[in-house]
Amino acid sequence: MARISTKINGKQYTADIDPRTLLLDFIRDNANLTGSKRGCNEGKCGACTVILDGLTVKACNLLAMRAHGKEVLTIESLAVDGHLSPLQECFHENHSLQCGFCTAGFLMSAKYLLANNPSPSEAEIRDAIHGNVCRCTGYQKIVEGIRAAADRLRSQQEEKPQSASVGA
Amino acid sequence: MRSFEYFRPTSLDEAVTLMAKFGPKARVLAGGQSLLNMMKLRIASPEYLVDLCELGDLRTAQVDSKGRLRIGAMVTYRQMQTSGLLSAAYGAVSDALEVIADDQIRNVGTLGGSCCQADPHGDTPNVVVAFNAELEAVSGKGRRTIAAREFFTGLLQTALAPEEILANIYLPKLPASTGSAYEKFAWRKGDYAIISAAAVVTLNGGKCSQASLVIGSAQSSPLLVESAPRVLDGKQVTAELIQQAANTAFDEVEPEADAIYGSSEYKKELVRTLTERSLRKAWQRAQQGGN
Repeated sequence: MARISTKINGKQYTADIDPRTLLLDFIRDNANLTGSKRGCNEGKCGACTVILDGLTVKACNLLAMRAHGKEVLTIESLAVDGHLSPLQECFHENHSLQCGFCTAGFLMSAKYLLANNPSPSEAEIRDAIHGNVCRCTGYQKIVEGIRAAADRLRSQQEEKPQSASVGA
Repeated sequence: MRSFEYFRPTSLDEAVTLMAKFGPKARVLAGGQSLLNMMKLRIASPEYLVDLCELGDLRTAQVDSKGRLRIGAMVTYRQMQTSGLLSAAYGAVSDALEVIADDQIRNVGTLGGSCCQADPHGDTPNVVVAFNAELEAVSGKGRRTIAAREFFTGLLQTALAPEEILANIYLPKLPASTGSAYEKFAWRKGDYAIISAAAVVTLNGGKCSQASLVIGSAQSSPLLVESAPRVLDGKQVTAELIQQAANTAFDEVEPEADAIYGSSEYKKELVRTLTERSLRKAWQRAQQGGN
């Protein structure tokens, strides 16, 4: 057994686990957060994508022990108090999902992209999601959803400093 | 995946001691993007797994006193891409990093792990061989340096002894006016290469003073092509001369056929095309100054 202590979506989890445990299994079975999906279980499809210390990883291809002492963000961290994040809203409005199985992974990859590149080109969006597989949408609607989210997040960012200057 | 005992050494000495103790029953875990899949399939079933993730020194890269670029074996692709250490002359490395898998895997995968995995369809081994980098291995017996051209010994095989740990990869200091490039053909972006080519060209007054070419995925380890650089050697480089070199590579390289990706003849044409593209790009980069 190995002792793991990791923070998932702001909550600390400590457990003795079989060192074989994959991060995805720890998230789903120990933390009971089942939004992250197991698609291929070999690091190809990206349905299990989570953010580990600020970087996207495929949770099915990482030992849980690699999250020891680190911080994990899963799909469950996006909505706040039951309200969808702007990125989730844009996926909803642009029909960026059909069956929904891959969606958690796409949202985490999109979140990572927009955190590092607030104004991605279409080519950059497609590049950023090429580690995620969707068998329903044909990707076009996902690209549109991410582009809409980039626009929305940017306009929200622009509003904030303005209102701050008014207040000052 | 079969069960294993997990170790997480906090110093290289401690890791070396563990590997000396367990030998072939142990495997070193770097990024794990290949090894974990092999363990899931039980192609690899180590009894002991020595995770190097706490070894901070192996996570650093810098130019050393000899002007070589030292890359710690645990440095991730993503770290290399954002480090600013890859000068223009190392363009082949930057090219390879662009086409390895995807963001999620580049955030975890390491140069050292990729070299030790020695997958014939991997990208970085070709580049490491093209530069003839030096790989530094550590064991209880001390440190030794292995030339990249002697490191890859076959399908998933390297010159490392079971108890040895790859600690650093040294890319050589490159002469002025050196350019390099990596070209790969795959069905989808980020897939394993069907054929790939890594080229390095050094110019001296417009003439080629040094060149190397490696073809990847053709055989069980990176293939150093001898004929094509000889075509360029000492000559004024032109597009026509590069085409001639590519034709020579086509004649020399005999890729292994496989049922999925195609016949040897098909891959030979890829060798010609990718040799031409990689040499041309390396040549253009060398003209732009390289370093």
